[in-house]
Amino acid sequence: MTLAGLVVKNLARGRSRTALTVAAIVTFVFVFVFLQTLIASWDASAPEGAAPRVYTRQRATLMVKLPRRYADEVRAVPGVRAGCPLVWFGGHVPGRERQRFANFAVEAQTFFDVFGDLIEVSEGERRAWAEDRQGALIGEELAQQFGWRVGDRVFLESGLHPNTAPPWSFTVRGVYRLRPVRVRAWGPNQLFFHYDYLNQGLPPARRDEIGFVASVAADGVDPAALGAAIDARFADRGVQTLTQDEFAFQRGFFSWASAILTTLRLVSALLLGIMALVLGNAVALGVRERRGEYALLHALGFGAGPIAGLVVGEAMAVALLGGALGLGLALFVIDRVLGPLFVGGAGALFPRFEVPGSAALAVAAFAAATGAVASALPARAALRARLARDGRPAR
Amino acid sequence: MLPIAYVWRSLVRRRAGHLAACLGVALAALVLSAAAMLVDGVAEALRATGQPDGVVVLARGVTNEVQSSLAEDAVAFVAGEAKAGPGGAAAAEYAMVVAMPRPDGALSNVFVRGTGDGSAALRPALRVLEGRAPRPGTDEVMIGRRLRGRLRGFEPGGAIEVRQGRPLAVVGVFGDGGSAYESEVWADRDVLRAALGREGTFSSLRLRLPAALDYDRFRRAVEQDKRHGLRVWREADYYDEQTRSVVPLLRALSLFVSTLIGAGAALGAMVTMHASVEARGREFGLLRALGFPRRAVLSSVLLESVLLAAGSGAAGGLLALALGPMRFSVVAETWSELVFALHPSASAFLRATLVSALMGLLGGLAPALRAARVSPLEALRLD
Repeated sequence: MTLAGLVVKNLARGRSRTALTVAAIVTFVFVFVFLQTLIASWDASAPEGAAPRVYTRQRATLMVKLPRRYADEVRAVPGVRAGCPLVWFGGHVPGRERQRFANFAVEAQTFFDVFGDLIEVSEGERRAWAEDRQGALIGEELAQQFGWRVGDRVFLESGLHPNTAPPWSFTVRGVYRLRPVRVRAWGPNQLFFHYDYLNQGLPPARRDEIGFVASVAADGVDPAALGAAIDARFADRGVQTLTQDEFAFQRGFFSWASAILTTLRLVSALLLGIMALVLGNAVALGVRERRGEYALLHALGFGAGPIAGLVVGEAMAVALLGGALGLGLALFVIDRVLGPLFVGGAGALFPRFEVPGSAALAVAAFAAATGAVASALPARAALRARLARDGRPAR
Repeated sequence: MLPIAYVWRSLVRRRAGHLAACLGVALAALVLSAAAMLVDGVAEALRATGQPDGVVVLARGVTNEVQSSLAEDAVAFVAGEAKAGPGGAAAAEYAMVVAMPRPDGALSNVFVRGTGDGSAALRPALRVLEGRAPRPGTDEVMIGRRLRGRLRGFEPGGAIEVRQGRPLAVVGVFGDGGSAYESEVWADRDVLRAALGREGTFSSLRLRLPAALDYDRFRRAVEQDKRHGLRVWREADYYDEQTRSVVPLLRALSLFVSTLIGAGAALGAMVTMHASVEARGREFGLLRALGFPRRAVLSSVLLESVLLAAGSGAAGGLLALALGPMRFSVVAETWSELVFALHPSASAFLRATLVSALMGLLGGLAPALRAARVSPLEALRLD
């Protein structure tokens, strides 16, 4: 009989209590992982190894357009290797307004110069798209969600860009894959089409405007310095610009979530507290009932280490078991049920909804911390158990 | 039914064990209560904004002022349609979200409304709370109560920028009965448009129709004119639409998270009740031997569990009320921040208490059944 064996036997003795406590922990861990997934979906963390792109937009607000010639002027700034203007189209499939996804009008000739490291399309599809003015490039997941294939006709309506003629129509010319770079705002469920088609379809008063310019800094050029140089060029114009690196730019898209993120982090911390209370309660009950055993162990000569170890071991075992089960359950449910639900229903809000890689580590740390906190007081009680003269536990 | 005194004494006797379960349920109730108050707070701020007889005209196909763009002739057309007698009022406005820095430097989107002469008259509850109203046609602005201090320069005497290098002076703070306007900055329309290079465009036309003009006739006349592509909203409907994107999501999320946390806490309470029942096996056997029926034992244990949970839940709910002074912000349809407070209400508190009682009921059911099944003989056998 080893100490670890004792821990297991003690847990098995109070089967229903152990089961209930594990069930409670599974519930809490599930919520914890869900919250971590939400946070990861909205938290525009610094991308790993992304190309040094910068984004130039209207200084005051992303919602007001820039004159089209700004794209050429940005490209002319020393230090800019390539630049591509984009327009947030804001379109949706008629009849499926609730299923939003991001769609952009882009300058086809320069699009891959700027985003080629992120978006991968076969050579043939790329050429077909370039040649068809009404062609559209769609993401893998978008194709799956709507059941579109190359050659299909797609119609879009946009409140921001109403077409006076029949609805905007496109032909799918290619399906793109994202290269494995962690860049939040560019997801696998977007649509890109030609700026020229958009421009010519708008009423004359609204033509020749762009949303923002994405440009790539030349080798060795610092994006921050480049941004300042670009903005300086337009500082005295009627329309001023603000140039940000990709990280800050994405932050802008998800700035709306910042307050909610704080709340979610707070709730995660609170979860730790509740979980520790529930686990601590269960462990304390067990220690109180087995006071005599701990007293006996002390009388037999076991030191503080083994006795405390029994209590801490029990708490840790339950916490880690619950953690593992909770994580497994969360992975399954989020992967199969919640993920498709969130991305399918609100793809513009949730470009990705996957359990972050750090979740397993976070759960392990979370469970270990809970086990440690929960066993602190009960362990102390166990260490103080003594036998009275008659062999029964002293009160 | 067993005497209430017994139930009460049982609860009090095992104080230490019950305390942990209490805290767990209280914390769960706190989360539940706070979440409910948060959602109510957002809904309340948006609801209080629309005037019952207010009308707003936007471009067709968009659902908020910031995305709407109206030309001068469209505005003139609508104003013409609305002239049918005395009692009407109108204001053409230009609204835009502008990025401004918070005290820590991070950018936040603020709703700036470029107002005209008639704007204040259309919001009868509007009052200047600090400083004074800005003079029309100047670089002066006033800020809504909820924005005070949240961003750099947002106090009377401060300065903010829409166009870099041309500061606008903050001369006053206004309040409007808790509505969404309190999260806005009000500037002169022409000054704002010039700062953004958007002279000549409008976002919306707000109206109070003259008594003689029927709303539906007006709406048809405006919407059917194909030249302009407009849509007419009742203000109440317009603000309902604003809540559509964010409130259901918040409600669903908070319900989901609160329910799971509640379930976990209920399981924790069940552990406590289970242990309590196990330890009192002899007691229950004696009670049965004395002649109390099974259901008396069942109901007393259940009552214990419900009281324990409900009491903790009430404590958690009360604690949530203490969060009243906190200010949160959420970004609604307009992509600008709507600042709101947790909306404390008796209903949120009651809901938390009731849900906690339910947790106690569900959590205590199994232990109560177990307690009721203890036979009198067991009492004699147990040590």
